[in-house]
Amino acid sequence: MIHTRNIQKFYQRGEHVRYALQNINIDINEGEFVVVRGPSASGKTTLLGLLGLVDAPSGGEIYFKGTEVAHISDSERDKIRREHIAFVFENFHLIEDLTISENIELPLQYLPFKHKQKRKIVDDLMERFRLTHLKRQFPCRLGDLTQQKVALARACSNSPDIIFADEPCGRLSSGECEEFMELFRQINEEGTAIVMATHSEDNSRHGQRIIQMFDGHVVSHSTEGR
Amino acid sequence: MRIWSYINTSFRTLFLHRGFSLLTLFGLSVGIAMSIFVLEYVYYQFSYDKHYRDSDNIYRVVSKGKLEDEYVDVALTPMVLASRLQKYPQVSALTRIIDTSEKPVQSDYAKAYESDIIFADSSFFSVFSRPFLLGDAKDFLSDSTGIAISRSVASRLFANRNPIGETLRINETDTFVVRCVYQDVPDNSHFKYDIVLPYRIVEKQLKEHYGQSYKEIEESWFSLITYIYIRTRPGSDTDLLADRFNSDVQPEMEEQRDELFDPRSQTFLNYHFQKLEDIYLFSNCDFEIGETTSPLYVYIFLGIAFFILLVTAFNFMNLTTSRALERVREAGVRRIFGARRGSLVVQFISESVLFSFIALFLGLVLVELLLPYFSDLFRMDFGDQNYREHINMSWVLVVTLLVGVLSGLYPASVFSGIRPVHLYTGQNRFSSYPGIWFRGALVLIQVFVAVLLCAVAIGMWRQMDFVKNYDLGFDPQNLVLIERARYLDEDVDSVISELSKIDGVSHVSKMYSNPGDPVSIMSFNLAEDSTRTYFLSVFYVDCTVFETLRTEIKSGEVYCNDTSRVLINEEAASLMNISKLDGQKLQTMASRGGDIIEYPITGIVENVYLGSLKNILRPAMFVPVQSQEIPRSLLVRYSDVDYSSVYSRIKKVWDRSGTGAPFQGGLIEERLDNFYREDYRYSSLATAFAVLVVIMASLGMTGLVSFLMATRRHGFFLRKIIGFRDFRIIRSLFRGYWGFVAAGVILALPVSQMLLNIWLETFSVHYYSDYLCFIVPAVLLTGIAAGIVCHGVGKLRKQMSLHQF
Repeated sequence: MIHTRNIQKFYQRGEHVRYALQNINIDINEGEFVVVRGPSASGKTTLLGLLGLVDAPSGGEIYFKGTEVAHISDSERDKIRREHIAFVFENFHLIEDLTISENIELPLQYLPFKHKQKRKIVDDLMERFRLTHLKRQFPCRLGDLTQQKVALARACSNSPDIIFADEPCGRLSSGECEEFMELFRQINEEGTAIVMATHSEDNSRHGQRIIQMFDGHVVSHSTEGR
Repeated sequence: MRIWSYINTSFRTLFLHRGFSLLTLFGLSVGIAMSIFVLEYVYYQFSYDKHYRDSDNIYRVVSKGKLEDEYVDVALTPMVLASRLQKYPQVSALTRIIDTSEKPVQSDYAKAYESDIIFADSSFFSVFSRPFLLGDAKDFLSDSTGIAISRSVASRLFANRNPIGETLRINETDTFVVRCVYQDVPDNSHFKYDIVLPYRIVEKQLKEHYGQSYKEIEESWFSLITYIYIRTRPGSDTDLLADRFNSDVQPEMEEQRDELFDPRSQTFLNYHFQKLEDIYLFSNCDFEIGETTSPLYVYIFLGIAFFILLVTAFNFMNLTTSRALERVREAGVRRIFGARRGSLVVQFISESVLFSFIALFLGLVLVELLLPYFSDLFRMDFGDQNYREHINMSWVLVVTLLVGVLSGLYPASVFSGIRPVHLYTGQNRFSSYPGIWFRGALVLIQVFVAVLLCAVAIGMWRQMDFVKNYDLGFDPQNLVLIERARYLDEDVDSVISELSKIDGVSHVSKMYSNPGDPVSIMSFNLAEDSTRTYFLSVFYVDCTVFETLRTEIKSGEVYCNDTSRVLINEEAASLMNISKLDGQKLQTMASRGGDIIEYPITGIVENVYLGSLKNILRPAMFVPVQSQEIPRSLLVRYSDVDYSSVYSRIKKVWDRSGTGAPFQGGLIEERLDNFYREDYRYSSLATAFAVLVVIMASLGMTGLVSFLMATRRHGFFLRKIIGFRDFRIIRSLFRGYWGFVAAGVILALPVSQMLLNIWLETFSVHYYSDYLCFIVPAVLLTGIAAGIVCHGVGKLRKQMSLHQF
């Protein structure tokens, strides 16, 4: 589904150039669960940003479903994200002023769904993630696991082809993380590809494939996970 | 449907952040309420006389030119002008008007004292259209006894009866027949008339008074005694008409001028046509028939309304963006999930438009609540139905929409500009300086306006204080003026005698004109030098009045009951180079063979301001009047007793006199204050606006400080952990902030001084502005700015925790 060819990302300040990523060549297949693992500042988040079309690379090519997307316009990137991609963040990034159901509905606001359709999708997701009783609650009143579940439900609302998750267990306890990863696994089994960045070896085991990164380079590919 | 979602979210934001919303809504609603008041006031000021049919075709003729050394710009014109002007085809109707003082008016059923009485030609209602309730314009003045009255007068004097054909006695002696009743003249008219009497009555009175000389006055181009209004035919060029008219009458005028004035003098007069709609705001003429005002005030208030709206919108921007970090995250999440920039712009603008409409609603509630206070302040009955008809709600809605869009524009452009990568990588653009420049500029403007208005308000009150304490050449304290003394007739001396017996009353004098009344100006020569003409204000006085006023007679003395021996003021003495009295005489100017009358000058009195300090002190002549002359009012000086007891005893004496006229009197000081009621009003308004803008500026600064706190909190915590003192932290964290506050203060000072000086120039005497009125607002605003920062730092200190890192 996603192929990269020699992508690199660097930041220039005056004469000083700092490479965040160099010569990355990876493929993400449909329905795959890939873990991007590495220590801090190894380039995991930057890579997810490029693969998720949040940012553009400084060089190289990215193909999304066969189309080169590294150098397309912001609005074209917005459109692909709107229709095919979703995100889960370490800090949840729920909108404090919206209720749980409205947060889940958020991606649908920018898609041509009718009101009834949106309601049905949101209701189904809330039921699935056992959030129905919290429908009218605001995020600040929820625990971390519940907030992350809401974030996952939001990510599922536009039925994406792929979900990018950046340290989704970063603020969860080990028990909460297990429960959350189980949800992730179920979603993946239903056919949604997942790319998860983590520095935890324990969490890596949920992936079908692990991409090990260090100092902006991919140092190994392995299938040591599930 | 998405717009409903935005509105829903906006309401949610409003309730979830109640404190912030209240602050924002307070600023917006007060700003909108004040703007509605100011703009409606301005609209009202511009609506004067526009209620007359085809008001743009109505003009007043005014006289401008020079008489000897004196420049004249007066609303009065010579009587002869009417007959000449009427012949021009461009003039479809013409009326002469002379106003008169209060008179007792009596019907068979009731008696009232009416003050809005005019004499006018029968064509009056052809120029000034009024809806007739009873009778018709053509019935009016069909003979020399027919009159027209307003609905109010009809109601006062005839209650529910039909007044048509009924008689009215004016001045007890003159009897008239009511021919028609017209709808009351609206308040937004530059002159009011409740009773219109035939002009030929004035002509008759003048004939009786001047005898054979009347013909001269009637034909004189230099006796300015009547107001003339014309209605022109549509499409007439009045400038062309004025040029043609002036050139047509010039030979006749020159002939008279050569007879009356020194041939070497530059005497000339021209007649101009002044648009009726412009009279109230733009006329600078002397001897106005009614009330006029200066457009300066209207423009200043228009500017203030604009600034208030601007400051209100800025405030909203500042407060909205002070929640930057939260909103950045929201915008970032929306962008990550594919929101277009345009949809975010619509979201933020619809939020601010919703806010401004809620603020409009609250503003209208505020308008209702503040109506009595503002009606008092603006001296307008805002609650009156006539006024309410002027309020154009669609216009108010458009302004509110504009405020909403303007306020939302900046937050919308900034927040929608968030790129998804900023949220993803944890960057936020508000940590950079460009945002602060804009926000800082908003605060700068608010501080600038606040200091400006505060300085102007303080300066205005200092001038009012200066005016109150100015040496007027008499002691205004403990002086009571009793008006309507002319109704006492021959009882006047017995009333004076009764008044003198009241405990504490030391002096009682007759007054032949009230302070502030128009004074006639006449031309004189010194007997020893007939080549130089002097225009002197002529006051007819009781010989005891200087003692009652405590005005010093600098030299010479006053001769009672001798109208031929006069006094002059120091200004006149200086003008005529009289340093020592040595038998100098004033003489009237001889014209067309008339008699020259001589007035020996027997005394010089100190300069006494009996009118407003807005008018320059004129050279004046005081003519002692014979004691049997009926005065216009009585002047009572008291001491060592309180005013209320003197007042009640004076009133008792009046009531015992049996005149029938209701007592009308009060302290001279109150009357003097009345001269400056417009200035007091504008000083109060400037103060109200200054307080409002200080509140607005405080909100704006709170917004900026909140923003700085949100974006620089890590810097604060880090410095605290290192062990910096609060003072150093405040200095470094709020570096930009102090710059904007200081710039606002510094820029405001010269501008406020300039504005204040423009206003001070409207007084003939004024205080010289010192630093006090500039230092106080500067310190006030800087203090508020510092207070807000200290409060913010206190809040930050409470939030300090290592978890913040």
